Amino acid sequence: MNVSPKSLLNNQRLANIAQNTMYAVGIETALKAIGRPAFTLADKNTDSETKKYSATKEFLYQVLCFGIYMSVIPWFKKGGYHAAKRIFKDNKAVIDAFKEFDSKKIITKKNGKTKTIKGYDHFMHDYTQHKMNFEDEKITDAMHKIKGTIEGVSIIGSIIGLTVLAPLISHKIIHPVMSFIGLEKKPGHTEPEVNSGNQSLKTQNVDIKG
Amino acid sequence: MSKESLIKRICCSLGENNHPTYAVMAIALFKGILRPTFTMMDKKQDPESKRYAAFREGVTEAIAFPTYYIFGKLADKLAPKFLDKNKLGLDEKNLDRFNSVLKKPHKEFKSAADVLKNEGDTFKTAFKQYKIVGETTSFLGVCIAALLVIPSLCNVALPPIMKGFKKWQDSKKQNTIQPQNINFDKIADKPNIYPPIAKPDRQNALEIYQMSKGSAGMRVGN
Repeated sequence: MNVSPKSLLNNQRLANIAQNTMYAVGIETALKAIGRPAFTLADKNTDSETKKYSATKEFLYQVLCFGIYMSVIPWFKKGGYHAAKRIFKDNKAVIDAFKEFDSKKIITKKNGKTKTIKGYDHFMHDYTQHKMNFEDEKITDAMHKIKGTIEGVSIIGSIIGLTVLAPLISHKIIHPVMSFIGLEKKPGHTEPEVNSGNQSLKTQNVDIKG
Repeated sequence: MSKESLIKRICCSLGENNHPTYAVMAIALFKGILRPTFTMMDKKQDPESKRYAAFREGVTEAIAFPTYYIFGKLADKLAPKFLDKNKLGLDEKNLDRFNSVLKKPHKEFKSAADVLKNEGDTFKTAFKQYKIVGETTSFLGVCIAALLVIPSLCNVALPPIMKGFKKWQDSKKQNTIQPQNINFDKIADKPNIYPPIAKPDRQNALEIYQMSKGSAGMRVGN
């Protein structure tokens, strides 16, 4: 099997992954969980303790984001499928397509067992099969509209999951985990990116002069 | 253009071409706004730490947003270089024609693709392969940006920015009146101490009464 960079970039399967919001954002989050802490540890401008603290916190945050995202996004994808019914309720082709996908379909899995699918699962099975078998012509305009709605709602779900839920949940989880590891800093301690040296607040004795 | 038709157009566009940069840029934008906001709402941290952390988070996402866009576009432009000519299914003549179409600006290519589509299956395969390479290189550009470029840019750009922010915070602290510890043991000026006021030389009431008892009607001193 030829796995040269060129062959990889010309691969339909990788293109399908790139076009799927869930995979694209999931992979990007996983790479951030690796890249950001690594570069934080490699930073020569900061002292060792601060680097460890920042890198650990960033790693935990990105792992949490990945977990929240993967658990939340399937709901948005299914929601997108149903949202397409409302958005394109005037489109006859889309309505007819929904009648087909909402009906049951029996598929055979790789292990030989059969499975009954309908609704969102039926749509994704047919869409992915056409894409993977390079039968793009069988992907109708109606399927494009449904897929586009699913991806649009997935993007909204990504934003909600990663920018609203993740910060709210991380504040509750990361502090206890950092304390458990023994890296939690005392309240009032700043997290300097630069080695600004030891700074301490000194009380000043002031003479009252007339 | 009604709100409903805009939503339909967006859904149709995403269905045909869901560029990987759309989602990551939208996430970076909202992260840059909401993550600092939630940091500032944290009641467990002191105000100075909160402001510092929120500013750092905002700057990180401000660096990430344009970087994703630039790398996505850059990857798009480099896509033709990674095109596997063997998969295009074109002979030399058609390959030259296809290459000349690729050299034209991207906007023209989209409309030219519609022309090429009508020319038969030969250019349809080539256009489909070009789309595949465009999607995968864009995704690769986003991955490289997330893994390597954005963290290294943050390492380079954040220290001077945060130094400047810290200086501004410190200067703001100095401008406010600080409560001072007064050393009460050392007083420079003694308060003025006046000599005690002498008691006026007056007879008390009892003495006056006793003097006046024996001399009713008589003038004292005559």
